[in-house]
Amino acid sequence: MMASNDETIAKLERALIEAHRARPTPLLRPGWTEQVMQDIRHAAPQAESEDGVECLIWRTAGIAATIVLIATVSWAVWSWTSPNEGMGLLIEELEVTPLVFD
Amino acid sequence: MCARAVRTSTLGVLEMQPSMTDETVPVLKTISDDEDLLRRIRRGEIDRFVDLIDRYKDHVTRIIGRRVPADRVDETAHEVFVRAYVGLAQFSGLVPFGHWVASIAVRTCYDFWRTRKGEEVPVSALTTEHQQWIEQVLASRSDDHCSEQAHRREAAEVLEWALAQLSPENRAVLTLVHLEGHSIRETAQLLGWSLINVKVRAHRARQALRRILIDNH
Repeated sequence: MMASNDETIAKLERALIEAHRARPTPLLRPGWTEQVMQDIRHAAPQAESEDGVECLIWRTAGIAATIVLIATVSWAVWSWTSPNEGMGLLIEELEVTPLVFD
Repeated sequence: MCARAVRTSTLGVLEMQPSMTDETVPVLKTISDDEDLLRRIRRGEIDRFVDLIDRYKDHVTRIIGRRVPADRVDETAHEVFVRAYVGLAQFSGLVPFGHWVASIAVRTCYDFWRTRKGEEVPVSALTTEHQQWIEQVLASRSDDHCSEQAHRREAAEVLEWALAQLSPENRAVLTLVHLEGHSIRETAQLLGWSLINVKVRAHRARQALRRILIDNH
């Protein structure tokens, strides 16, 4: 019964697949291309300005990232090379303070 | 070099999938012409886009004609080419233009059904003629007779009736995977979805179609 049902559905599926593939290609109405081109000419400045905005956003993001990177590297270099007072004090503190079980 | 390798393999896939490529578009020959045209369009020669439209409109209408109602083909194809123009900056050239525009066509058709989802389009019941067609298909003993039945008007109407009951996502995946025979990978690329999403949806969509057919015959 189950196999028979599967076979039935498979038959219908095959027919529907063929029906889908047999669909004829529709014809576009005359003057369709000109109408699309009209819209594209209209969309052209808008698309260009969108491209411009996108370009500006990426450029700004790039510049900001570079500034942050330079600042981070500078700070790291500065903190490494300058006399490290904070670290010195901490070492001193550790040397002076007796440990709990001493 | 890398782009060339990708292009060659993509062409290989396209040549194996006649349903998504247009037999009237000699893909290999048009690639260099397309590149030249695209360069000129990007330089500002907008009117050259008409050459791309002429080259690919049959390809696009063939895809759309199988997905949206006949009276909506013109406007959908229109939208596809406007989207292609507006999104031209995103076209990397790693795949042939025909494949890229096919992807836009598939997604535009998916959007078409998504926007209609909320409209509560009534699904008409099958008529006696449709029921008779189903009976004839089931009764056909040879493949030839079955194939003959598939070319009848009722076949397209029953298919449309069944697809109308699926969600836009299931409809898009079922059309690509089961009706047109695309691989999961190709379908994922065309729809811009993940492989796993397409795989799960393809299974669910087929089950849903089977349920619809079982419940109504």
